[in-house]
Amino acid sequence: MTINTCKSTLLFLILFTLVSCNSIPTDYSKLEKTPAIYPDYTAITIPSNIAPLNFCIEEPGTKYCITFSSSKSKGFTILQKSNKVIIPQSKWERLLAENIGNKILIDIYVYNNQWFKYQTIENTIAPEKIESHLCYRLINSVNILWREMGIYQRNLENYDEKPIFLNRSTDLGCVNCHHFNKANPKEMTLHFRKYKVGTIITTKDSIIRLDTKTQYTMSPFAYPAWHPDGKHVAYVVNRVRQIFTSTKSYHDVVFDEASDIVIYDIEKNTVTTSPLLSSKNRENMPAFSPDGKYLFYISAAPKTSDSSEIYSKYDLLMAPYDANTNTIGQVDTILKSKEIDKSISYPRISPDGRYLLLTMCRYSYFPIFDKYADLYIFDLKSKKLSPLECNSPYTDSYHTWSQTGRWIVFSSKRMDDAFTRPFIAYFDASGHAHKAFVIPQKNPAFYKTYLKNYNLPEFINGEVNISDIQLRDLVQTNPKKVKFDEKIDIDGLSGASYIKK
Amino acid sequence: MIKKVPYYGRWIFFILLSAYIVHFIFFNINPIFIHSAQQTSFYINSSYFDNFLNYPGAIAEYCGSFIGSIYGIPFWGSLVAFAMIILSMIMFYLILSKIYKEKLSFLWMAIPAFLMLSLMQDYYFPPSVFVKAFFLLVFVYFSASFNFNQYVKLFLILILSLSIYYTLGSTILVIYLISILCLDVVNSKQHLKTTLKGLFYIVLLFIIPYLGQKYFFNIADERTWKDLVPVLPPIIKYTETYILNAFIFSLPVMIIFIALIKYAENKFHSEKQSQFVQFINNYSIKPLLGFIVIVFIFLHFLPKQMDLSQKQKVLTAYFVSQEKWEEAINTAIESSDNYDYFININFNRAIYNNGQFANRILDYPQLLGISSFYPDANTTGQITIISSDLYYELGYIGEALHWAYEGLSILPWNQHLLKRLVMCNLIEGNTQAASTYLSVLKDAAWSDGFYDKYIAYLSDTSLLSKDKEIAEKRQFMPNNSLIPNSITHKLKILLAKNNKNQRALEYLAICYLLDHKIGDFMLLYPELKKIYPEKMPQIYELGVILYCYNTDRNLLNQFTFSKETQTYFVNYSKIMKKHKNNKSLAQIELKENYQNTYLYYLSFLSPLVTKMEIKKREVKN
Repeated sequence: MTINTCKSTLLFLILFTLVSCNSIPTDYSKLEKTPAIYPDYTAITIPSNIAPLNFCIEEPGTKYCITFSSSKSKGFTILQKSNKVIIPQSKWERLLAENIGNKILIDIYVYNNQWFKYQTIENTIAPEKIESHLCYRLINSVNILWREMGIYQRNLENYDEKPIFLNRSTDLGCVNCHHFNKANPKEMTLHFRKYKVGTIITTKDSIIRLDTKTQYTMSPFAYPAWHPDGKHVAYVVNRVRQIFTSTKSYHDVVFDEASDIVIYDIEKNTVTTSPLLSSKNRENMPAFSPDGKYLFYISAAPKTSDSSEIYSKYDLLMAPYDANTNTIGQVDTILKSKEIDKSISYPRISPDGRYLLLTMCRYSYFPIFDKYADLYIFDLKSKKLSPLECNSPYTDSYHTWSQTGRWIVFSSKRMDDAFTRPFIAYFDASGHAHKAFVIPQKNPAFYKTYLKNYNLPEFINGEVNISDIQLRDLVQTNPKKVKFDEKIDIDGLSGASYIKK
Repeated sequence: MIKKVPYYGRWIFFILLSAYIVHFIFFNINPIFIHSAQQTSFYINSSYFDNFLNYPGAIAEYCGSFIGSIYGIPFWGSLVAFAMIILSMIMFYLILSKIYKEKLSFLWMAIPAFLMLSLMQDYYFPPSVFVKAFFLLVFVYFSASFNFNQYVKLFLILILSLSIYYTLGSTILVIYLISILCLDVVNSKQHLKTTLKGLFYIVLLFIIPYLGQKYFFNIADERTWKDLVPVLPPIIKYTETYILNAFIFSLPVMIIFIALIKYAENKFHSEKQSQFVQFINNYSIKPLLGFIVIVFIFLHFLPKQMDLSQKQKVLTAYFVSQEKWEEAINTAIESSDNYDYFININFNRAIYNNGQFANRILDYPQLLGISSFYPDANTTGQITIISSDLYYELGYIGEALHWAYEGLSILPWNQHLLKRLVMCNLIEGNTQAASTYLSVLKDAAWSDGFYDKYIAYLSDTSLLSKDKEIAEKRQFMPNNSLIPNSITHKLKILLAKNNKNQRALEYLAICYLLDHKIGDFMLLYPELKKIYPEKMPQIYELGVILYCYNTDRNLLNQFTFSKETQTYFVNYSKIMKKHKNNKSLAQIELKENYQNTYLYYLSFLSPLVTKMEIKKREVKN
């Protein structure tokens, strides 16, 4: 064989491969079923700025041909032997950008001695974009003996994940309660427990580390809620406990012996409370309305017995709040647990102020261990409470809104009933949630072997610009001591006792 | 006398040393116990590898995990350990040869061999340190062999330093730079150039780790220059000793030492040597003396490096994990003079699984009473695996699952715990979660067939009910109840769920007896009698006798006791009477004959008598 013959053969092979790479099978049998793909990215509504939804085709075959198209554009085709579909980023971005408000069509052909074509997958591209980033904590499935954990931010437009804080360099202390003001990455609060105890608050122009335990509050701060003015943050002070059960569907019950709500004034460095927020009841999970005029929170009756302490149910309450005077008005009960026979947690108000998104579980306020915890939507206008359409038979919890009010993100154990994964769902103008999808990963089989939980996913409008190394160094510094408001004469030790001065 | 050691003499020494190392590794150390102690797992996938990219020295730890996982394979683990030592010896020798250009004696190779064998005798010594040390030797050797002009050489050393810092960590970088500085000082005759190079090395030594920690890697301050040993949880933590320092500094120290010898030889070399010096030089006195010293050190000091109490603890746990009950029991009993809480727990498990529970419970001193059935009373990372094992055997699946999860947080990727999670989830019927853990195990290096066996259960769920172990645990596992904070309550819950749970029954009976609660024990007597219709274990019979003595002696007629028990009780009482019931006076005589008996336990060993408590262990996980 001459060199020229070799070259020609090689050229032919290359051309043949190139041609066959883009050719869609023409001779195939049609199957009247949707192909099994993992993760389930079928019949979903997606934002136009989401990273490619890579997936595995879980149908037996030796070759796979996948076409992405729409009624408006021709799209692109992938032909491969692997069942792992890695979608080219630029082609995906173009397809989505060209089809906002329309459907994209995914046709899957599988070669198993002959070509089979499955039913077309139709996904809708919503008109509204999603925030570019998502913040969450990654932690093992653990109840007491945590070790490594970290707060991370994930770019939803690609697959970049960066740590915001890792506890590895700070004696493995617990870190959580991350929360942002209106998804602003510059306004963040973060809480540390056990080692280097304290709270970090970042504002547009400062970063402070606080020692939040005062003489008149029962614990350091937890469970934050930013006031939209960016100058106040409501926190919970509590004495938390947990018990274990052999109930498969609720093996760990976290509950409070006592809890109060306090409000921290960032500028004055003072913490205040009110007899209404620091009563003998167990107030918890604060959330301000988007206009800042109301404080929503949950409350349970005080402990009267061990059983009442553990199996208590929480009501949903609302109180007017005046940020100028930092005072609370008359409390109103919005939802009574007795009437709905469920315990309420995590009230989160939609940015337009119309809807309240809640998690409801069987008892207590920490629903992540309750298999039957679900998301509920409460229409503040019509006063109608209904379960969210995107719930699953497994734990659905820890939700937040996007700033457009069209997307929600929440933690769900629906993939394997073991690990929480962040799911995104479209929430349409008529108040209905669409089918949820898990945030995509570069490796579509990622969730099959990933042994960490995504805690409290929260949208952010851009990247948090403080590095994990900066925060590591900040945590080593001496914290600023928070002062208890001198004007207040009741304490935050649960029970609103009068302070003798 | 041999006038000169023949050339092949050094090879004979090398072979003898190698043979000794092989013997020592295979028969004294046995890396399989290292694997058992450290629970090393290795996975062939990117998510496992990704954990080893974020801090200096992590790549070496990745390689260390690989070697640690091979330790778990009989023969191959020992072979790899042997290869690591031999290769390090050779590299060490080659580096020293750079100074002593004449044929350097092979005897020097014994130094790394001795230190490495000493270190390996601590079963918690991380293999990654050997990986780091080996590559340190390789890099030093190549740096010493650079034959470029000064600037190129300095540039290459800068690049190498950065690579060493990232792959092997800052401590190895420091040793590397000190070692090449020593080599330069020893070999160079241009003092100014050497001084400048030295300054350059010292700057690198301080700047690279400082900048790395300050701006690039999220590591704690204290690990800026000191990161030789990985950060590990207390359950598998290696405690650094002077031998580790001797090992890691042996290279620069020996470079200087060999240089001094060479200098001394050159300085004092003259034709007018005394007859004695001539004799020493002409005949093989030096190598022979060296050989004798090495033999003495290896035979005398090396075996003494082993911490026997640690070895027995590791061995007992290993034999239990391999279901070699008799070996576990014997190892535990051998170590009974030196009480260990974890050996106690494993001994109790072994005797039950060996079918000798009540008969042998006191063969190991139960100095902590019922605590040896309740490790999770003191919640720390160290008790997670053993608690999960204990509750799994009892059929308390919720607790086994709980402690397996906690354990996996302490030891991510631990295969034993992942398998436990698969089993518990299969028992609870959560096949989806089991599938996640199986998917992880699929990528584990050195598969043992677990994955293949249980993956079939997911596609054919009828296999679940056909599996004896799963079926039994399903019958035993309690559900819908709070998990109490007391082992006796936990055992009662197990019995309330299924009174055929013989292990729970016997554990509860022994717990009552160890806790001096004879009345509560008597409530279990009818059930125990069903298990032992013919002859009751002596400890149970003594429980009955004591109950009757303390309540109504006429009750004794309602029970039958073996002759041995009656004789024992009478003899024990006689000795007590002889000493007028003075326990202190009677103890010596009683200990001689009845140390492992229940009455002796009640009088002298019980924690209710001795007030012995579990030491508060390290809180950090």
